[in-house]
Amino acid sequence: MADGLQEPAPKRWPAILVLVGISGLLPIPAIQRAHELAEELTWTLRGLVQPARRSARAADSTPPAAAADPRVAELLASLRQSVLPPKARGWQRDGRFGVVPLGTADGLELTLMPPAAVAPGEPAFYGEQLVGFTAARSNGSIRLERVTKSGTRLSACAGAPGRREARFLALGDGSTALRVAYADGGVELHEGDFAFALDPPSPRGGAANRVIDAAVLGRLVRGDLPEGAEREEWRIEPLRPLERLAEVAIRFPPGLPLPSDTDLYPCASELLAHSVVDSRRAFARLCDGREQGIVPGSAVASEGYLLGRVVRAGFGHALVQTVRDPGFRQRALALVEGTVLAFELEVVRAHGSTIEVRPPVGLAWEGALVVTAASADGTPEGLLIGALTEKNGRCELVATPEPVGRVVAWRPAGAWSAAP
Amino acid sequence: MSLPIGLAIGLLLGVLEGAWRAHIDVAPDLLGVAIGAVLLRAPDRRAAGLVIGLLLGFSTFSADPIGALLLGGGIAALVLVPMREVVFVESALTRFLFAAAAATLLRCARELFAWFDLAAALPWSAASWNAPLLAGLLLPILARAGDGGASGWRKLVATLAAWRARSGRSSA
Repeated sequence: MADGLQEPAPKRWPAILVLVGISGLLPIPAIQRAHELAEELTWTLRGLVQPARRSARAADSTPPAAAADPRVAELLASLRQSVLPPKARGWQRDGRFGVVPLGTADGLELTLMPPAAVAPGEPAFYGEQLVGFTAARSNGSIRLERVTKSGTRLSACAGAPGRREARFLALGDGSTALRVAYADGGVELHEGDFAFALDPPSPRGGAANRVIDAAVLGRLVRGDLPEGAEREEWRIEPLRPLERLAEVAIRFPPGLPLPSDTDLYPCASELLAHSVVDSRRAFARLCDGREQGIVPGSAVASEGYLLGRVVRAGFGHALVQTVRDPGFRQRALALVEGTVLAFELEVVRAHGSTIEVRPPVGLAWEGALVVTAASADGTPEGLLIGALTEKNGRCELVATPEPVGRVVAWRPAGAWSAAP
Repeated sequence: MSLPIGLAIGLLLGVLEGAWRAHIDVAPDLLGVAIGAVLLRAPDRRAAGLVIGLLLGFSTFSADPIGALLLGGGIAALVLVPMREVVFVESALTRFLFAAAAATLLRCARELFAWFDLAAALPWSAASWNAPLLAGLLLPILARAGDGGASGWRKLVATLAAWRARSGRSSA
């Protein structure tokens, strides 16, 4: 057959391109890292075509020593006092208690914790309440396992000490409340009684092992058995819902620095507008990049306000997703009614100065002050994001400055962080 | 060689579209125009290099993950390359369809990433169709202008050659 009449060979490159694109959807760290590397390489190339130069004023400015506004820092410190267990309880073994923020999607990762820093099985408290125990992950990081987790088995007691004291086992079954099992016969349980966790008996001849030392587990409530059931079921409802805790207190071994001692390094820089072509998005370009230690996750702030977070860092410049961008997400703390509550701040849309956010679930958020939660990636704690207010049934965020001009980028400790 | 050329054109298109949008909010999707134009030509290795370069270069001006652009470009190529066999590639309607389809498929890919929570979910409105439609309109106009420019250039070259030949004869 003549060459001209042969069927053309099928082109494989479109299919390969589709496969490479689809691989970006896979939650495999190595593939995600490869995509990020490609993004950063091309982003660096853009810096050659369109250099981001700082103005002389921005280059000369001195970054602040502390990230958070002193008033916010003071407010957070005063609220933290309620997270630490009382010293009189005798929970202070060797070392000291420190407040650790809970981060990541499931809200149970102990952030700012170096791998294997804290032994697994350490109790975690919120004030007088026992909320869980530390557990080691296969990668060495530490996570918190709630006390209500399936398989938990604790000695506990309830009632009035000395008069009407019932001992039982508190069992976790994966629900939001612990189940009371094997309660002492003849001792009446009352709804609303406090339940306390007890340490297991010390080994014969060994030292007293006071680890939990009568920490509060919650209040007794009746279980919802079907109508006409012959037996009673009791449950222990935690005083605070464990799903919404922002931070917990755990014991740090001697010599291990507390999370509040972990520093991020400031870098004075400048933000430039019009960084992406999509007019619906709100991104900006930072005039410094990896050569200054700025990495994805670095917070960009101005006068104590969070302006955005670096999502792509190349050599010489970085791409910043600002608070006004639809889809901006940030682990945040809502300071409302004397408590700190953690939630995932998510911007839905922004029009001019109005920023609509997804309302935090299970929280009276009207008037709440929203600040950043600390992250080892480069977000210091206590940067102001704004205040939540209700307008036409929607949750809006107010009071954030325009994300352009002189700014401070916070970078994690690294080889290049000490550069001015 | 086509990959670096595509990369440079992609970066240039990003600069152009950025400058356009800084003044007027309504703008064509220039990446869609460029991919539509490349796919109208023979889908050989050179076209592959150009398309990949365009996508990588333009991705630096996009807030979306690079995978979304590669997926959109790949789907556009997968759909439009076989279509070359059944359409008349010189027609203005085909050019309109190729550019508009490329721009739309790029957007669909980003929506897929948004569905998997890997890109921001942006609301679709009537204005969302502006960029693909303008891209579709721009490609036939550019092609006609390019054809006109090419024929004009050829005429100019021929006239200059004729003048040179005449002046050579007269000097001899």
